[in-house]
Amino acid sequence: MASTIALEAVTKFYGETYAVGPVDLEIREGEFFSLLGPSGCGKTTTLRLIGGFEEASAGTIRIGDRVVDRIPVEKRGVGMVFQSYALFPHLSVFENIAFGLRLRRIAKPELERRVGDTLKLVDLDGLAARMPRQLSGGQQQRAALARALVVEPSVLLLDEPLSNLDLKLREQMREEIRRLQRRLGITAVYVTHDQGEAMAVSDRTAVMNAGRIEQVGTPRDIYEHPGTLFVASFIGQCNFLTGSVIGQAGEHLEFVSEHGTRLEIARREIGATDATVVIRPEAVALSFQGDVGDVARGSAPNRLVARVEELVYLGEKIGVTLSLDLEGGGSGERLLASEQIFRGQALPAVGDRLTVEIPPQECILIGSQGPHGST
Amino acid sequence: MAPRRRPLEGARLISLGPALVVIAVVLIAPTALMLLYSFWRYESGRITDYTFTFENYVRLLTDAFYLKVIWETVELGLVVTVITLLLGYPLAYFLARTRSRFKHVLTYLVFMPLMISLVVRVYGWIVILGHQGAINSFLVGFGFLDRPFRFLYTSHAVVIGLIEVLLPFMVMPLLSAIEKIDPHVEEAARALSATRLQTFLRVTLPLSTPGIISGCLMVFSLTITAYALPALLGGAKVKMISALAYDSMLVSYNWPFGATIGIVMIVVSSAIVYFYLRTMSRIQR
Amino acid sequence: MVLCFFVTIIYIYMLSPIAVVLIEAFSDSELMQFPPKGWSLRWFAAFFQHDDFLNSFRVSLVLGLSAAIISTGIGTLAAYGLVRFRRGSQAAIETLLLAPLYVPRVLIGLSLLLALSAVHFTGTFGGMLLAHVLITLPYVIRTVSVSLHGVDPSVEEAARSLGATPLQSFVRVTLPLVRSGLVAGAIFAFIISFSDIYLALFISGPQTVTLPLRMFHFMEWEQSPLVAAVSAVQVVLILALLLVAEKAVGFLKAGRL
Repeated sequence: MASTIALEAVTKFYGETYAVGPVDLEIREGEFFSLLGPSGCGKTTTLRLIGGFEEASAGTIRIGDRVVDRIPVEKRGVGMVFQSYALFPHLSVFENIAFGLRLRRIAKPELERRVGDTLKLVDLDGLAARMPRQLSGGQQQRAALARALVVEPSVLLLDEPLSNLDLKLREQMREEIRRLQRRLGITAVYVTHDQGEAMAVSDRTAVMNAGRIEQVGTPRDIYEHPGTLFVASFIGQCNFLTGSVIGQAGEHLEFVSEHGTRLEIARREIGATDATVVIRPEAVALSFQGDVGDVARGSAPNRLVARVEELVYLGEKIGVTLSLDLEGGGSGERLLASEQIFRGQALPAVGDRLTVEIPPQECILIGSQGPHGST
Repeated sequence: MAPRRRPLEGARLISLGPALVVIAVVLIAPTALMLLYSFWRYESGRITDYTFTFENYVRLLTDAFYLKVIWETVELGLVVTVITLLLGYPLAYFLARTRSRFKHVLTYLVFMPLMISLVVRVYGWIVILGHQGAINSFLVGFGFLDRPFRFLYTSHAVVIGLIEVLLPFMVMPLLSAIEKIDPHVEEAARALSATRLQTFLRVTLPLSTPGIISGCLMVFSLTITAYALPALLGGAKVKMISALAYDSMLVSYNWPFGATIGIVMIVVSSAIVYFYLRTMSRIQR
Repeated sequence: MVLCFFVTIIYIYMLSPIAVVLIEAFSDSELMQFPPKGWSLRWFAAFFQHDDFLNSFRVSLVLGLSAAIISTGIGTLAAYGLVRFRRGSQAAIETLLLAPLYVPRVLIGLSLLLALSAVHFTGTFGGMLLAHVLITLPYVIRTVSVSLHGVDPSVEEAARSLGATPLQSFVRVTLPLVRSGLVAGAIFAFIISFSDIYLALFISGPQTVTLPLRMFHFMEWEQSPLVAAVSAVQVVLILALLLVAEKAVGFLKAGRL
């Protein structure tokens, strides 16, 4: 039922204008795979290449074990959900969903059964006679989904289907889509610019930028082991320290930043000495209860002193902007730290000095270029 | 990187093809033929002996008679254009600014007559201007005149008829242009103590210039190429260029000469239409 | 307001010929005179007994219908090509397709006379039909293009993704959605064809004397109210069609030339 999808060196030019590629990708059977990136990164183009709405300028596309390059859209057997839903305005919900079945000349009893079942599946029972303009955004979305699914495609493509919905509805709908996909066991390719969304629903994600794939991996892979600066900054927040690796310290590497901050960082092969260390804000541990001013160096690596420059109260946590003290005096880099707090906890004030500790495992080393890797 | 073959090209060809073929066969080819004819020598009986010559052009552009006709045509064109502008501008302004709920109907009433055949409307003018027509009946009946006045078969009748027929063509671009002027701009001028008249002269009028230009170009072009209306309302007295063309083609069968008139007219009207379209696109901007 | 008064006068000026014709059609007299001295329907009766006029009416109707059908077919395709397949040569092709609107009719007629006689096709119905298709094409292209711009292109892609070939997508999805533009275009095409005088002046033959042409020649010699009756019938027909266009379509969007 579900198919694999493979892209080999797929490239797309619009006339002389470069759009996407070369892209190499393998999507597994039954996987929920997302293409994530900022506007203009080529994710929608890639999706449309898979679907057959655009023709690749070079490279091969396979769905299952079929090479589909020359196969027109209507014969590829992919279901597509558009950002604008693209429901047929002149047909009722029932007719919209039945459209694909009518083309396949499915007999009336079976057609009605399948449409009815699908309507129930997406929770649109009872709205079959309505016209698209009479439906709410969420209902239209579900109708579009139903229409694509009723013909039992081997692959489902979704082009930012939730971007026109409000936040609560978005979260609700993405869960529904995920549930449906699991239940039907269909391979899904999902395009979005919202990294939170991609992380929440995908089995694996490809982060794209300027027409190339920067990294492919599970949400955890990408979050914890970003391969490039772009990926690191696109997913979640981070701090960047540029500098170089100057040696080893046991199982860790020794790193010195431009401003002279010394850190022990997790070992990682990047094939260069000039690099950037990425630290997530939640990895920066703050001690401000009682330990203020206590500088006990040598007991733990990466224990530094910093001054509080700004503090933002966010309810469940605080965001603190710190400036690191340098050994010889003066201030080094600024770091953003976020720390969960509990009710009633005493908070530091601007100007306070705190001890800051960054575990070496949380210091992610990224080369200046970063690999174009796929896992 | 070279793009691969594009199936879209086939679809594009099928969809645009028939229309383009029609244009090529029914418009472009005949025009090219007309160009050819204009360079052929006229021979009565055979119409032409296909020898190449410039004499048609020379005749048209240097002979005093033809120059007179050309001049009178242009003169008529200018008169009609100016009067149409003077009548059309207030109409366009009214339609653009009115808040009446009949706005749509009123606008429709301006353009609807275009759908009625020219011949019908000309007949209407004959009824109005004729010997026992509306105006004469009124004037004689109420004693302003002893005898009916001859309105028909004069250039005045042609002017009156042309203006009425061409008003919509003046109103259309004017309406577009005036509608695009932000009414707040006029209010701003009033707030700066400009009178209505001053606001009109210094703000509205200059801003509607593209509409004025477009409208004038279109009306002028349509006037100088007109045939049916001048023929019926002006009779033999009012000879315009198109009438000469008609006579050449269907009366004296001097097709080369007729074609020459045609080519000259096409060149002139193409130039006019080119500027018209350019100005119109500026309004839409 | 002064403007209102002035505008009213202009409206009267613009609409009087048509109004006068409609009134004159009911005149009782042999001669054209206004206001009519008596009232009767005799001229309508005369029209329906006048072989020549009836024949021309038939010719114009058939011509108009044929031109409308052909024009709508070709024009809808062309509009689709223009709106959906935008390429570099877009502007040039668009200008070409709309050219018949801007070339003076007299010249189209003249050049067609030359061309048709070169292939011995003058005076034929086919020749007239070709000419009428030419001049009505831009109207159809315009109205259908306007409709088409209101259709979300994704809808056609959705149909394709559900298994429809490009042709099926066009027929089952696109056409229904541009129906209003199509109907408006067809009606305009008919009206433009029916009212044409210029082309008929140059390329008509004894079998293809259209109604406006017949009236034109008649008016050169006589001016009896017969013409008024014929005109009145025409006006009613056209107005009825325009009303249908209204109902089928949104209003002035399609009506602006």
